[in-house]
Amino acid sequence: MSPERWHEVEEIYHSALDRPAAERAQFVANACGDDSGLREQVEALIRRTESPDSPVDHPVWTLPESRVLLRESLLGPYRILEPIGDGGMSRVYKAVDTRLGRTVAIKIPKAQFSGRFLREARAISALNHPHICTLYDIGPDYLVMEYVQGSPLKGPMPTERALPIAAAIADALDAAHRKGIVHRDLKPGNILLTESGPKLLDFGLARQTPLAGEPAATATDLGVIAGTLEYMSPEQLQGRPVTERSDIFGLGLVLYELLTGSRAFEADNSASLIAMILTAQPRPLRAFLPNASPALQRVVDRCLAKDPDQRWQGARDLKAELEWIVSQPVEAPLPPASPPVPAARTSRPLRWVAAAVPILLAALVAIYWLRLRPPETPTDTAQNETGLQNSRLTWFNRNGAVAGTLGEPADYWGPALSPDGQQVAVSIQEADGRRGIWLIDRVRQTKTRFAAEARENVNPTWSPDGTEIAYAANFRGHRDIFVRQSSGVGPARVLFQGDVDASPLDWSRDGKTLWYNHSEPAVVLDLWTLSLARPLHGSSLFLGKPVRADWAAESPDSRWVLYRSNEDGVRGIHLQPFPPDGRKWSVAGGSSYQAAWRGDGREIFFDAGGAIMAADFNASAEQPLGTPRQLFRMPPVLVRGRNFFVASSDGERFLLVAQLK
Amino acid sequence: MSTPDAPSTVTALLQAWGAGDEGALQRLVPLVYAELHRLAHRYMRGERHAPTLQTTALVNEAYLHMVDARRVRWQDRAHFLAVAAQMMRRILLQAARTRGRQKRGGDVVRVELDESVDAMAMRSRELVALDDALDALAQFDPRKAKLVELRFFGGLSVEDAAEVLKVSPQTVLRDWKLARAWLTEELAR
Repeated sequence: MSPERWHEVEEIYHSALDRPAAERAQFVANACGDDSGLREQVEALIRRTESPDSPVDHPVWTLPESRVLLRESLLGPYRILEPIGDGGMSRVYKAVDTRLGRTVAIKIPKAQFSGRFLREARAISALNHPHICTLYDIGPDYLVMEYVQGSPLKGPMPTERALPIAAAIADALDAAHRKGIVHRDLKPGNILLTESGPKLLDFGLARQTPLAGEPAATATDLGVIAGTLEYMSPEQLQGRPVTERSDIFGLGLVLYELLTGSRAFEADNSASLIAMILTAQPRPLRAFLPNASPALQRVVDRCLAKDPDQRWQGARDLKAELEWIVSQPVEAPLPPASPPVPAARTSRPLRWVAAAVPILLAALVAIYWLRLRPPETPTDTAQNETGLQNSRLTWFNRNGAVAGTLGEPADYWGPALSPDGQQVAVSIQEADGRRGIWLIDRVRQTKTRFAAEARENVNPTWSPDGTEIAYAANFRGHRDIFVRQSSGVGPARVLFQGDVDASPLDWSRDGKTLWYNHSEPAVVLDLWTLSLARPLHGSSLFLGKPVRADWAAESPDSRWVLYRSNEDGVRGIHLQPFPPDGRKWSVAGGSSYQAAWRGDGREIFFDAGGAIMAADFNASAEQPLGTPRQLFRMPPVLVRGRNFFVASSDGERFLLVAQLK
Repeated sequence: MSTPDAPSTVTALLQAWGAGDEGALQRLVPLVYAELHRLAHRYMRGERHAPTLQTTALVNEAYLHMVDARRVRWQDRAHFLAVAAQMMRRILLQAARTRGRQKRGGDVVRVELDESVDAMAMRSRELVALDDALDALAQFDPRKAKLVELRFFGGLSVEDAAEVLKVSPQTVLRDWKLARAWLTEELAR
């Protein structure tokens, strides 16, 4: 290798490692461009950096064997009986305390103790709990612990057996957390199952890596981390502080493994594993246990929430919930139409629309939800998080009858229905004046904040598979387009940035195209299509005339587009094949703002003269549009902007932002 | 073998080298080499139950034996350790290569350090591979190759290595991370 080439490798390598693990792969791909050799090299080096073993980790003459203690040898007052374990970080012996005649376990860490560690060990020795392995003594380079006879925890086991074990662990965690001690490395291998229940080993001992300010003994900290990657919490991976809630995450992993016999997160290599822990949801329990109750699923989800704030706030609550589930003889499962939502969606008070599902079921679910709310979370109300209450999301039937409302009154803009019809993403003005995007679950009537980083977050646009939402956010004095997973997990990515406002309009059903509007000096305001295969490179202008065009919706088969422009001198809604072939039809005149496709593409809806209109659509006919007919007169609406009305996929119901007096 | 006047000689040579006399290094090397050789033998032969046997201990012992610590700056100590690391590499590699030849049934050469090679954490062949990889690394990044030599063969701390290489401890840690990754990859091929 030439020094120049090596220099290049080095720069990218260090820049990549300076970034959070989740962003590295993308960064390296970008930095290396087309140079696949360079990329492979940097990727290999990063992989090796995470690898726990390197031949140079210990100076050449360090002999691991030399730390082996011989049978019958004495270590202080302790007589060694036999080795009972050899972990990556330490070696454990069964020994006898010659003063008390007591059998103990002696653990000899392979790394040196730090001062901080010794201080913590003293705190740990004060822990006295039936489910925590007691720390008796701290030697100069060893620990003396209660000798526990048992076998490491292993799943799968029957739910009725797993839950009391998990509850006992939660109880032990609660006792430790109350003394300010965090386990930090909870995993099945650290829990022994004895005749009297589980015993937690190695409490608080995980932090043997040098702390900030202390010199690194050897540069293998990364290796140490890699060893137990599977059981790390997202915050640990991101280098953020480890708290009691990291233990809650750990307990979630243990519970998952006890119930299913599988690891919640598993991957071939550490890069994928890190990505999974940071972003993926584990397979639902029902994939393993057909009878797993929704309540149990929620307990696990809530332990494994990516954001520590969304987890159980205390081990005691978790324990109570586990015990409550144990005490429930039979549980009615939720219908498949309403799968459990991620735990991040739970922290709002429940408002239930009994009309949506049978009342009995509603009551049952309500009980789950109320119980699952953390008691110490302050009770947020709509009043203190939303600003004006000047409109309400209201459903109308085709004949104009009100069919229900969604959420509480607020200042709503531009709702968007998820492809499965379960959720509505909508921009709401909040108490501090900013506009955030919220997701409202139609069945549960819960509300979760999706995006509120910028001053204005508007125009949510669902991806066809419902996993992502594109939206406009105003960080820089005008709106740019971002996209983010609809679960709210992970950072937002830039899709388009310009010098003036840009707003997403429609995400094509085939997933390939994002329609948006954006001004250019020559064209006033035009429609653009962004090829999602190569974001930021594939924008093309749709009309390209000095006109104003501001709204578009692609047909479900992605072969037609409805849009609004003033290209013929008057503003109106037009229809063209897509890509354009020269044919064009006028759909509605100047007072109309937008149109919508029915899910099967056989009918379109649009607003005209204060009413919602419908027209049949037949792609093969010479005149594809049938004669429009009025469905119903609209109530007063707040803003006639994008998505001021939304049609359900079957075209039977319409969601409007109805103005309140 | 050390002689009664070794401490003052080695101390004077270290001081002269620290002051820029490269000739002093030439004379320092054989003295350090002999002492390390002697110590290594002693360790391997008689004291199998020593609690830990580390290069660091060996090198430090050689240092204490050969250098009058009151008369040298700590920087000189770091430089001594650097020389010692280079010597350790040479001693161990010589033993490992000879042993490799013996195993292949070539000329039988009495290997003075075969016991120590047996006891080493790394087998001879791996040690030879590492030595070759270090030579390759030195072709395009001599500083990192030197760093590995200092830490792996000499057991130098980050701070000592920083002094020898005339860079900050942060740079040492960064260099180490990459050098470690590169060597791991190289040796896994």
